[in-house]
Amino acid sequence: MLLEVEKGVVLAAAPQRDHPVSRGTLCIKGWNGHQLIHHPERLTQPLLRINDCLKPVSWNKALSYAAQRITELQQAHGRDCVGVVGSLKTVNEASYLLGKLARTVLHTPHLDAPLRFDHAPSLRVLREQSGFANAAAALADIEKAGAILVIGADAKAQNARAGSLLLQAAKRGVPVIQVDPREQEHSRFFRLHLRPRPGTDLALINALSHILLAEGWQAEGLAGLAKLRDDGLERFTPAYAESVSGIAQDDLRSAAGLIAKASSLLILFGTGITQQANGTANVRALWNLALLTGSIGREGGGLLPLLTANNSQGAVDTGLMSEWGPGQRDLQETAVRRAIEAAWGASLPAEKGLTLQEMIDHAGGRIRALYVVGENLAWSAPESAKTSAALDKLDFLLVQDLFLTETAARADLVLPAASFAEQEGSYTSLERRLQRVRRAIAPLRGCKPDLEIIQLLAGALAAPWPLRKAEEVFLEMQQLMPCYGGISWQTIGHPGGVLWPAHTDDEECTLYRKLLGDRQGAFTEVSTGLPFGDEPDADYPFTLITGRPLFHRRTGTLVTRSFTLDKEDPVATIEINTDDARALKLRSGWPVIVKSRRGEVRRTVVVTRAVPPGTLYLPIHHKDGLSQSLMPSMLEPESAIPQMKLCAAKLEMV
Amino acid sequence: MENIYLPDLAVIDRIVDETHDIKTFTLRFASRELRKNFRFKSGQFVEASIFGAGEAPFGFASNPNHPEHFDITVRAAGVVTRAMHALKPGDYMGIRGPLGNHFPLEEVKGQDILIIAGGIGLPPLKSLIDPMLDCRGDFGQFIILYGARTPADRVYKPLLQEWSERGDITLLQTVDTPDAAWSGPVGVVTTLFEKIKLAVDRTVAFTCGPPVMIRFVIQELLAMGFAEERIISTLERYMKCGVGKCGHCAIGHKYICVDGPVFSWRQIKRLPER
Amino acid sequence: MQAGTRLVVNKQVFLDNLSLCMQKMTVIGPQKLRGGEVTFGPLRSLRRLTLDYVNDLDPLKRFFLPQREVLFAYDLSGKKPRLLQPEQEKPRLLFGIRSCDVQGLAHMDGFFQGACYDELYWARRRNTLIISMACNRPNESCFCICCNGGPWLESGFDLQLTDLGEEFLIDIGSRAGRVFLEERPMPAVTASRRHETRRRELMEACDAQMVPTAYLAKACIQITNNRVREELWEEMGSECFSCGGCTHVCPCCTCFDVVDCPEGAKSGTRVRCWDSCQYSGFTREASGHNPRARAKERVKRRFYHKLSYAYIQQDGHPGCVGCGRCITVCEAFGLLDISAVVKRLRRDGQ
Repeated sequence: MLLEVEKGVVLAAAPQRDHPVSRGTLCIKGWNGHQLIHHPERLTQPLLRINDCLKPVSWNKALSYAAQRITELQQAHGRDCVGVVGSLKTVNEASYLLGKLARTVLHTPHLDAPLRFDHAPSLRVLREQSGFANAAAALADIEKAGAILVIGADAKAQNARAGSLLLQAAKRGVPVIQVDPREQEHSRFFRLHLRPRPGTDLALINALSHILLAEGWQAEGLAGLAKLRDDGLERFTPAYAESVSGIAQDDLRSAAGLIAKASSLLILFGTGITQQANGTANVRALWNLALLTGSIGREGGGLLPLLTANNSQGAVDTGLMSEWGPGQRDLQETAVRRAIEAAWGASLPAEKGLTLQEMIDHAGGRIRALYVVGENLAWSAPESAKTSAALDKLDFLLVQDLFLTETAARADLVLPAASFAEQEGSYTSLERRLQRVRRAIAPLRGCKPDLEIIQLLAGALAAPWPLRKAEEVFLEMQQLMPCYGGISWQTIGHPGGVLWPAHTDDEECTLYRKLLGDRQGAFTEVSTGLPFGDEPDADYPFTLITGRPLFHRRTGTLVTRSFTLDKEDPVATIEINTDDARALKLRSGWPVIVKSRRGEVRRTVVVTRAVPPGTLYLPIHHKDGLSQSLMPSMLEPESAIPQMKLCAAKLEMV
Repeated sequence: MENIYLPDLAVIDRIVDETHDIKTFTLRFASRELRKNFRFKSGQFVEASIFGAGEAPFGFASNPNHPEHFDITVRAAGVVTRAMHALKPGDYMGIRGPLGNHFPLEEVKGQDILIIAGGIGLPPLKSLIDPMLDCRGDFGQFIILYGARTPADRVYKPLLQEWSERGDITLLQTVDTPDAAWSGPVGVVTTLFEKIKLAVDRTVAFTCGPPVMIRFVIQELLAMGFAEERIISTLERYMKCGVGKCGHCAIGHKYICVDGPVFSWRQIKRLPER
Repeated sequence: MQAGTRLVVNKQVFLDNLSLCMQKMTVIGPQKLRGGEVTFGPLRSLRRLTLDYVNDLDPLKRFFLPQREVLFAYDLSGKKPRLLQPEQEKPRLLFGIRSCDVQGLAHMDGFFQGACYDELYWARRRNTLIISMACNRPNESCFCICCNGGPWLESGFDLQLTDLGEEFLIDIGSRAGRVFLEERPMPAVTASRRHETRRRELMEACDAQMVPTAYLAKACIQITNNRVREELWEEMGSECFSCGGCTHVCPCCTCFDVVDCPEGAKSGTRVRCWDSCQYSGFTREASGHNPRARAKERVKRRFYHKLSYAYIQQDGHPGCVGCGRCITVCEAFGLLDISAVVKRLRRDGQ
């Protein structure tokens, strides 16, 4: 993307024709998102809470205050009383240094990224099975896929590029099987739309594998089939899946038939299947299905999780997830720890760190101070009321952001960061595409790039860190990240950058095969599935599911600051099935109160057949962060992702 | 050449609370020269600015025969209108106008007049009724029908009282939801049609109000036998520049802000997306 | 010299003169970015100028109707608000603009004049000399021959250059263009038969290379008479990603939004920014009512504006110059560029 600048003001954005992914296109957010850069609400001074009021202070004062408070608290409660939350939006170099700051200077194990809330299960399973915590496919695979399964994701809304490639594939006649309780705008173009009861994806996915195996439709030369069948798949008969998910056996067989006939299967999936009690089990089931069709590592096949932010993958790669260090390396492995300790010249905290939701849950207890970079936790975490109360319990909340978000407003100290247009560094896209971002304008007066802030803070905490530029930091982090090996700062500056690992040919789709080598991977356990913890009952008769509209992103901190995007979504709505609406005597446009066992929000009714009976669909709305207040925060046991996709709910008239 | 987007400054002389969320502002231009030369016609509108909040269009709500002052009646609905409601007499607003076309006041002289207004649709029609009543003798039968959600949601209550006391016009009012004090008709404004008698071939009907109301009113008028050109309505669209440039208010190739807001049903009927 | 007579000037001599102009006026021309993308911007020297380009993806209308433009500044610190008009810009020379964009300017000229004369647009228009460059080589998305948008034009420019290799063949389109040539030490000769022949050859070669088509004629009739099946609009609406790219890059699209940008409580600016009829916020009223709530209605609107006779009669031509930019920005999405849509309309029901 190019930015048009005049006299230090960003006027507009424009796409690049020579970019291999965008090929001259942008989505609505690309065209208009730049409006946030000069938004009047941008923070341009550090703000310190004095007498319960945020007052502007100098950078020097702010940094020394932060260092002093953190040091005091660490002396009183131990070094691991500090938690650090990374950003999915800032540059890799800043993320890398943030991880280093947390693990060496602060010496706390409690570091995590908000990826925990959307794709922790995807990353966990992929890393477990392939060795790499990232997509086992690239966007270009959509163009080469023999068949595509889209599950728990609205590609059009969540990733316009993936959505457009998917639409084109469908229009070319590629069989696209969509699994989603809700009808999406593009559903009409897809070959098959299976609408399971919310939260029953596991039975459905496993039944597809079951049919493939039962019919002998699996790929050739696979090992471990008998074990797969006997140790779990067996019980996922089409009849069982029908009883659980409500999908007719014939439809399951047609879907399996389409998959069996195709040369390869590409699976696009989103938070619809990860933010559940069976989050990890679902991704495991997808892995088995992809492996059964022989699609792992094959052109036009594999697993492509639709990560939600511009630099989600970069946050994983640079080591912001609690369990992994730079290069996605497992911190529990002694060799890894030694290597990192040697490179950083410091010891790493020994114990396992808390994950994001756990840090919130322990706020005021084990966690006394939280340093949050570019994440509006108060709105992004489930059970908003509980989250806000937790943040208030902290002795010291330090927030680094562009705007005074609901989280920043609760902070003791707020540091004004620079926007994407004001900083240098690199991003890694959901398909591992490492690209440079260049400064289009100088940071707004008073703001500093994340990279600089983190280094200044380290300095204030008495770490002997010289102030370095993005390129120097990139060179350092490369040493610890085998996946970024062989990539030069210069090559990632070309349009499209580089898909890691570095390659010399242009066959991006076969990359994953190269990554895996001859490892086709093995089947993973088939879990029976856990019951969903917040089932509808007589008091809360509906199942509420959430989703994100096209012009929205995460908590809306950024999109609401673009007036064009803000205009797109002025009304917070809730979708209800036509028959349910009739029974409740509700009409489109009427206000209603949506209640769950945790909270309530006021919404405007949209009556539609797009949602099935018994289901309510709540678009995450950017002007009321309360959407998440309804959703449960209980953790899925394996990946520690809150089960925030669905819950029981009821409607009350206003 | 002047910048067509640059407002002139006007001072608020008076603010009247009409309902819980509607106020009428009486304005006068700050420049003496403008005050002297300013003229407008019934049905035209202004773009009113609150600097820092933005600009929004409002129909003139006062008598064009007295252009040294003019009224706009504003419901607090968006950012601009809420900012306007926070103003006091003596405060400034930016004003661009007069903009748009106007009601065919001269052309309908000698005819019977039927005015149908809904809610906040009355103010623009008031700028037509006032000058008509200035020369009441030029018109035949004169009927005003006014519908509102509740009695309290009616604007210009003292004026409605005044009109209802005049012997030379018929004013009928109705509300969707009555309160304890309301003794008048209840129902949508079209239910008043059965209470009036008129000769469709010498009556011109003017209507302004919410889009749904206008749709039903026009349906009824046509059913009563009104000729298409004898039904005059205003059209409303989201509007920005007011001078036919920004494109927001276009319907087909007509721009509400310059070709409208006043149209006959004959014209509206031909628009591709009405 | 007379308008209409073609002249020939040595290319380097012309460029050297262009370079001299850079001291007195803002010279805007094509330049290459890293990676090879070409964009137009102010030039301080010839060093960054490139003549190896087809066109900028961002339409050059932005130099006359900028993506973001201050309408006025306000100052509320005193008793009475003060309104400050934007300053006049330096004279400009737009070098190398392609014919489609010149034709787009002609379209905008028509729109911004009349009863509501847009002085902000015209101030820029008046102080900019247009030296266009006819296209020897079209892009794979160009179809200007279908829309009277090039590759060569008869009017709309001050000077129109044809790149003959060592020389520029020059069409003079205005008095300002003639004066520009006369005032500079540029030995010019009248074009010979050889030059004219070469120009014709280039034109024919360019025509032959155009790939996309735009069957406007039938689509105009279908749209004007509302003879397009609603289901087809419905389908196209579902495909649309409402990114607004098509209107953003269209040289004939002029819609804008107006917003206030406060800088603190006491001052700020009112700016206009490009807007798009493809966004649902474009027509949504304060009450929440939206006459074009669905993408289907918005796609229909876009083509009504481009191709209905109501507009063609008013503007004198369809709202398309064949620059092909909407093909590029919609390639990824629903294939709803004008070339694809008129093809779909034509074939529908056959």
